Amino acid sequence: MFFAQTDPETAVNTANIAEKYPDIVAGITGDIGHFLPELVLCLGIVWVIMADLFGKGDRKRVGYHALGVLGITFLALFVQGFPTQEESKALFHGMIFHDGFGVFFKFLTVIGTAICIPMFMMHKELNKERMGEFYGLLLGAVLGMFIMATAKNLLMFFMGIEFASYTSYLLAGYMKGNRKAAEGGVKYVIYGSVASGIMVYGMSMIYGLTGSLDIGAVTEALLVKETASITLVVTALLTFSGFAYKISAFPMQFWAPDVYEGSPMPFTAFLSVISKAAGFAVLIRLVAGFATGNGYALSLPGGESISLDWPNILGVVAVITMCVGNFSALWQTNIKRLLAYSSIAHAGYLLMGVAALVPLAGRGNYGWEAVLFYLLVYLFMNLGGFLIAGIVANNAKDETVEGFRGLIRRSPMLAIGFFICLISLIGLPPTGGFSGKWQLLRAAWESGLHYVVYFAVFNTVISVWYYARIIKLMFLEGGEATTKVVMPAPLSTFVVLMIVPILYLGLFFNSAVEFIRGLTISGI
Amino acid sequence: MLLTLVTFIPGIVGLIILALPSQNKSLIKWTAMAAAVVTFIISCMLLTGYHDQGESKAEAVFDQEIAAIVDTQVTDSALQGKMRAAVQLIKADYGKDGGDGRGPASYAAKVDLSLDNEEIAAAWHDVWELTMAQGAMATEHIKYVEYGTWISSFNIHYFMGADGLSLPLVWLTALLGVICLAYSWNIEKATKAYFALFLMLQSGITGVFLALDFFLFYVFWEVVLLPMYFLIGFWGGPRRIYAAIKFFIYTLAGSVLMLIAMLAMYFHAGYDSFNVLTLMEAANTFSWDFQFWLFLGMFVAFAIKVPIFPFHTWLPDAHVQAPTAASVVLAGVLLKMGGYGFFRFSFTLCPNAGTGEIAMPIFGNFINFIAVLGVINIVYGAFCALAQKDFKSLVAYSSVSHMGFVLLGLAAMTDAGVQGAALQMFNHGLSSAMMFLIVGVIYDRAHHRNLDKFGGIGAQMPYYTGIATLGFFASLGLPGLNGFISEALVFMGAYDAEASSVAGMSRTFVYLAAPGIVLTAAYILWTIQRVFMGEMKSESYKKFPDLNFREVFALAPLGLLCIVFGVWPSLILDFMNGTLSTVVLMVRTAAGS
Repeated sequence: MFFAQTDPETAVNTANIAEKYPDIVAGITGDIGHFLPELVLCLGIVWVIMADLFGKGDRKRVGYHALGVLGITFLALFVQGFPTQEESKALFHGMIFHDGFGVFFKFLTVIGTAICIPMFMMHKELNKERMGEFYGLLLGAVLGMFIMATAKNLLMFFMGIEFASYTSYLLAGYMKGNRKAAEGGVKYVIYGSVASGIMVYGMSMIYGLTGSLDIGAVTEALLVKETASITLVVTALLTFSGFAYKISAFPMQFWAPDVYEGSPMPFTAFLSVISKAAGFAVLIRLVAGFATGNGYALSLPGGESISLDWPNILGVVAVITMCVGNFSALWQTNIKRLLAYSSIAHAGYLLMGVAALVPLAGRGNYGWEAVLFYLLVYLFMNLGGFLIAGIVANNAKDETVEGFRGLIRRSPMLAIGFFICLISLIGLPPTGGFSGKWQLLRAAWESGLHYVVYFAVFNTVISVWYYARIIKLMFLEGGEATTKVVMPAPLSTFVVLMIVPILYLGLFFNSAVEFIRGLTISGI
Repeated sequence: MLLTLVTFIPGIVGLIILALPSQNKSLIKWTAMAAAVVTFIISCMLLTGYHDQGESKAEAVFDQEIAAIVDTQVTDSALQGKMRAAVQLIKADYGKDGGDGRGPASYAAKVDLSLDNEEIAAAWHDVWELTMAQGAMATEHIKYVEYGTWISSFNIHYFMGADGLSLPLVWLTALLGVICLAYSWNIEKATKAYFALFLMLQSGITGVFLALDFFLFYVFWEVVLLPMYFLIGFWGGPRRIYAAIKFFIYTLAGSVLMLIAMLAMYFHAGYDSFNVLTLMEAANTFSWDFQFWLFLGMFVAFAIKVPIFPFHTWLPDAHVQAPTAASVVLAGVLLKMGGYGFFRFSFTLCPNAGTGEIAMPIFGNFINFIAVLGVINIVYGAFCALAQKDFKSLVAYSSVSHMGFVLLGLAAMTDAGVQGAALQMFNHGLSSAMMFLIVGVIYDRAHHRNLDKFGGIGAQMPYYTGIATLGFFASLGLPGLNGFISEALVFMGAYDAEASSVAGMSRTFVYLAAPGIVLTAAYILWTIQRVFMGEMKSESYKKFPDLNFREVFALAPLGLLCIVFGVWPSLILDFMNGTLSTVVLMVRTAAGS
């Protein structure tokens, strides 16, 4: 039984449900308390639209309402806290996980979105549009990601992903007058729908093979049944490609550069960090569930056996993804496109950690810890990078890397801040990018995926080429000290707040690692 | 405490300088200078205190740590007893091979210590790590130690230690720090950033020489990259940006291989340790196959830094484009990071590479491989130097040539050879620093470096000529000056290797390297002739003033030291002796195992 069966007769008459199925109702009402942050978001979506409709003043002010909603959501999450081993459980009859892993991603999503909102508020072109719906959709995407991070049932996964995707399609093409935005939006819809279609097809086949959509049950059924067919391989790959799309991994990365370039820059930041993080949450849960044990050795009818070697499949995908990202980034001149390819490369690095979830050598299993840590760092370094790039592009009226020329003379703070983001993206100490990438490499090496490590460090060296090009433009190339970039004090503080965690996580990452290790995770 | 101070004072003051107002240049310069001088004084204190330290500080500190862990973290007295028994077992096994049976788990199994409890397992791992570290031969010479927890979840420690190999290099770094800052007094372009970066660079280099935790070492190693990138890229010559990025990418490409070597060791047989001393003791258990890849990975990282042919091409570019003071640091101490790596890591972690037992394609074994590269460096570097028209480029290639002696001495793996190699690093630090300063002085006046266009400077700038000749002769290896001692030791050691070292490096390499000396004499003498003698090629040279105070302040101490260490080399050798003989001893005892 993958969801509560409802008899059509009784479904209409709501009053009878409580009498007929007292357990179900009690279950739902009992669990609803854990759903507080999601409920806050639901009300918040309505609230921001109302605030735009009935409030007075300029369009920017809706942003404050959205920020307020996220603040309350944060509080709700905070009050709920990170569930301990005893407290973690499945909610709503096994639809939703309530565990530390999920709450971590919820925090990540809320904080990341809250960082993006001031960037939205500063975006001039975007603020010509109606902003109530915009923030409503944005909060909707956040809600979708909450569900993605906690879903226990494939149907819930699909709902979460679609919820986040549909809102994102609209947001990507939100600047109606802009051709590039429209093009990006349309591409996003088309690619996205195809990917979703493939994924849901895979999921339906999983249901056919196992008779269930619950991850735990699917895993067990697959392990026990030894479904002797190539169907399973196909199924798994189909399902995987849906997630690959969400995290822009090879072979589903084609949409990213166009969509990233067309979207307003803050939304590009949102897509490349928060949306990706949610994708990884789903992927970790699934891979961890599906690949328990040593991958699958399937015996074919003819007596041969094929094995679905998850670590190596993901490892190879990771390698190709990072190579594609880095090599394509080499010659990019548009800063958004460059950061888009860089974020594809980073999806590759992160996949390394997912591949390492399944230990080959039979030793500990740090893959998901490394992914979580890296996502935490990535939140600051990539959003920080986009934030500064946005300010610079706005100031220089130029979205190409040329806008950075001689930045050190125009604004030393922005130049040094961007420099720290960049060396963190390269992965040099003493930044969080180094400590994070080091953990990913460590996890991959420990799982025996040595070749992935070789490719990853090789890619690191390649990536220096395009990151250093911006460093060079900012610090070393001429450009007379023309107009200084003037920033209001809150904005400067904001930039500093983004940079400090990068350095802190680079030098003193012990507490963060310990914290992540202490998270409870169901389904692994 | 002293080690922390000597490492971090420059860097922290560098950061403080960034906060100073950029108009007040003299405040910036004097703050930087004060930091450099204080650091230099501390490094002198370290050096003078070294011989009075008595027994190894490292062993004592580790004993305390072990006692603290066993007494406080483990409460059950039965477990404490088991751990103490296991410690005795480890001590009994010092220096033995034992295959993979020397990991924490196997010793725990021997005394029936259950590691199911995570806290007990973590405590036992630390005890094991420290006890193993005590057994490493290098430990007994480590007289200054700082040991603390940094990232406990990955067993990463803040572990700094100084022995006879690292101390002279730290002192040299601090000395060149003062000299370079003094020489850079006339920098007008972005003074604040220049002085701040210089101090950060010094911190990084000092840290590299002192870190005994591999992770910490790697962090310092990478921290050096960026200040140097900016120093070359912003204050350098016309092609500075190209040179800077080349330096960056080359070095990074090497260091990521070291990162892999580091990971491989960390996970080897469940050691989970970055403690270099622990790994040295555990190195007895590394299989030859493992050592082969380990050595190769680290070799490339260090070879790029040294630089060794064919990885040397970044060096002339970087040197020619870098500002004088950056060149001085680059040649003086930055290249030594690579050489230091060979002494500290390569042969102690892969001792069987030093015995020549590990087979290598084409070259037969690693000793031949290094010797061949050493000879190529010496001879090829000298030939290249001969062909240079650019004064600075000539000095750069002379560095390539001189670092070849370090390799030759290492390949010999005899006491004399290894001591000569280490001393050559130190001496080259003095003489090459001097030569780059000499080039800088003339470039500041003539604004070109074309050797064919100089001439007759000797009559115009007598003091400069005198001190320059001293520097050149030190570099040439004239008896009575420092270069002679180290090159002579290298040749003695190398000649002796066939008979007395384990690997028995062939004497042929000595014969092949010997012409390098003649070539060195040729390019140095020819340079002196072209620059200082003969007719003046330009009237403008007649207006050149002789050395000013700033330049004398930078050059005179170096010249003096070249003479002092030439006459009295044991001043430095006394420090290095003990430490270096353990390297040779480690390799010797590893033979056959």
